[in-house]
Amino acid sequence: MEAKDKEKIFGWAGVILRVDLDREKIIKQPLPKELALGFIGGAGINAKILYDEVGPEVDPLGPDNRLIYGTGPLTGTMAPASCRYEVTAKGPFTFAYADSSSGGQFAPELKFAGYDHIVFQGRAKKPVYLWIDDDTVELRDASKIWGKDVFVSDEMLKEEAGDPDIKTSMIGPGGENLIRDAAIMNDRTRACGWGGMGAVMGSKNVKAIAVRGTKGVQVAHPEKIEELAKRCTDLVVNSSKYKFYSYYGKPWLTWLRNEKQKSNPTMNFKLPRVPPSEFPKVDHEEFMKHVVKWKSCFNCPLHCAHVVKGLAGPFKDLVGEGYEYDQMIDGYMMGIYDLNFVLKWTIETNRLGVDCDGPAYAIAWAMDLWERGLINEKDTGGIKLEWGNQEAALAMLNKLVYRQDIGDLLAEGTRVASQKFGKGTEKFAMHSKGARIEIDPRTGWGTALAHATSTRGADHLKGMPLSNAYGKWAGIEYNFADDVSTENKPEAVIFFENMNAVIDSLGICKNLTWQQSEDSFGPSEFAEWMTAVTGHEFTTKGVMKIGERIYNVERAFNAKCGVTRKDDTFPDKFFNETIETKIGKLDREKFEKLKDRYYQLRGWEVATGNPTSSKLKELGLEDIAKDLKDRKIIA
Amino acid sequence: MVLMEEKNMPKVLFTNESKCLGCRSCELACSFYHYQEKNPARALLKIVKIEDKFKDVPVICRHCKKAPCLEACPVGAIERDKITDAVKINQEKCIGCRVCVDACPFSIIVVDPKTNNVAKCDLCDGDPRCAKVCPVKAVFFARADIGPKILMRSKMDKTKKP
Repeated sequence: MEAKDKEKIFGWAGVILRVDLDREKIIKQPLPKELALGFIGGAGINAKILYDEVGPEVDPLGPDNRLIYGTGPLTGTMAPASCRYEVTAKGPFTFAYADSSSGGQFAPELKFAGYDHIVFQGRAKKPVYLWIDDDTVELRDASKIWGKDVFVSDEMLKEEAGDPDIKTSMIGPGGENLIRDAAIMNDRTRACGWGGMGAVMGSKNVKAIAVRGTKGVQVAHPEKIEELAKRCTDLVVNSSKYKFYSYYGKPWLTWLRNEKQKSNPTMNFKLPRVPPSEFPKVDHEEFMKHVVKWKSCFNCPLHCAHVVKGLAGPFKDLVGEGYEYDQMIDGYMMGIYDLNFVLKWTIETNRLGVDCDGPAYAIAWAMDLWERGLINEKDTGGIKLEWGNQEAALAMLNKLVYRQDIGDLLAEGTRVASQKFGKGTEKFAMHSKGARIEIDPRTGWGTALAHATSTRGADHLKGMPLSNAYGKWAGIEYNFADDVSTENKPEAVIFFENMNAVIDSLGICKNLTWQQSEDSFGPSEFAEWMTAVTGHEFTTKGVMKIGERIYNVERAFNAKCGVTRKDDTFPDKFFNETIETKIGKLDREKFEKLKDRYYQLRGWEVATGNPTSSKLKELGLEDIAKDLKDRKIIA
Repeated sequence: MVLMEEKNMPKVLFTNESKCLGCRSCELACSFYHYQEKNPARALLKIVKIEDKFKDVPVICRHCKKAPCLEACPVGAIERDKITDAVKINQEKCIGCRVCVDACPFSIIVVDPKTNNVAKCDLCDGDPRCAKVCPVKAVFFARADIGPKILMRSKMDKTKKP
């Protein structure tokens, strides 16, 4: 009995579910211990599986790509916001590393059913969905659901299971039509939006995962959990950003960006920010007038989500959820200064199963071309794609999802679309590594460096310093809001990249950790949680080392796919046009120097930005070092 | 010498639906207290999610004064706790007929997915964990006569706050 108990796995469910769609076979593989201890779970284990199984020759939308779901050891535990799962694949935008994560209720349910990861490979002959009922796992026919939108599909799956409480993660028409911006949606209104994971799922003919889990998560030291949960929740509730997030949620950031930092993606970056005369119509205070109710993801005390109601115009009395900073930016990008429209946009993108931002950025690019006379009504199928035209934007979204007229081109994302379209439109395509640019890099040097070096395209959730956590970690004076100086910026970005890799692997949400407030919980609590939950000894330094290891795997995958230093950059616009922010524009020389220092500190090759053999070996990644050497990518 | 009969007003659970965020911390804490497991599927209270209406409804055992489950049980396996006033199932006597499930007007007597036994809220022996962890007091534990006043105050407070 005792010996058996010792082998019992705590925290992790201990199973990787392998779904071979070609052969319609499902295998339950035990989670290898060295993978669990070396990469934690979620994003970490996903990245290692991706590196090991997907090569540079693989077409992201071909059967050889992997679609990897991952929960973390803290998912479903009493850790605050233990609600997240990570989906990783070779990205249809970046043609390299891509991942995306989502909250809600799906991830804990998958964990409760007894699975840490799901790896899809191959392509089903006809549409299928994966049904998981604790130990029962089967591929079921999805031909009736295929083609239906997310809300209807969710309803149908629950009907078919005969249980209204099952949780679903699925694609909508966006994923089915291989829109590169397609999202994987769970709980109707939560999305893995970044990176086109929905398109990968669609390419595999997998419509959904439906899950019921009643097995729960066992922890190694139950006696420590309640105190730890209480302490961390108290830290969150008393942290400096709690009052903003728990009330305004993310829409608070629109004010921060527009009024304080003076940069906000607007009209395809044609304008530096929403004109101050228009901004009160679309700011966070205006947003609050629409709020009906607050919502939380699983076990989260932060409640940053809202149920929102339309107040005027054609969308009056419309009610929806999942409305955030991002959707507000989408309105700005298309020159639409109306929050009622933003609600409609939110509901439509969720319903169709596409990322909210990607199509908005693509349509904004098309609106830019329209204004310059590069496209006309013949291309758009009669739609007048003028800035601020609400009907045009919604009609175009529909065309994009169903690939009609120019929508077929826009569905490829701005990089591919502009290359195909030609006529000099490439310079208006605002992307980095093929993915959209989340925040204007001219905001400051920390933002610029983090967006440039992010492994999945210009993105703020990989390494952007959003709090003074680095200073606290390094024991130095550090002000993340200082946009001007380049001092300590690479150090801070590296710290955040490593820490965020850990958070994404634990299965908790970044919003209530050090990533947002240095007075909330951070690496030392992560180590405490890991020790209490899994029963293995984790230290603060050890956890951060794992973060570094994970980030190196992501970077190594990019190196393998030929994405290197040359891709850690932005469109020329950001180097040439000055805006009102503190640094005005990016000085190219300064920018390259900053990157030099970043690669040096990372222990990577400065010329290429690729991880070096010695760094990889130091991190225990000998296999990857050997693989990159064999491919003649590193020396 | 003060001779006073122990007849204090019992403390009971209240819900405030308009506050509920749907985070299910209560379900998690409940399952953890009763089974040392993080497993909302075994929780003894439930957040019902009505997704298309964006509603989260906390459903709890109200330990009714005239408890239909207690009255319906054919073998007298449902008893009232003398100290906490909680309506509890005596598993030794229970025959598993599930009549109580039907009798409960809130259907919050659950069938445990692991044991296939009926189970219900027992107020955690007087210190309900759900109320302890709820971040917005959508479930709270108060003296039976004071709870309504707390609810009233919350409902009359028209400022929008979670």
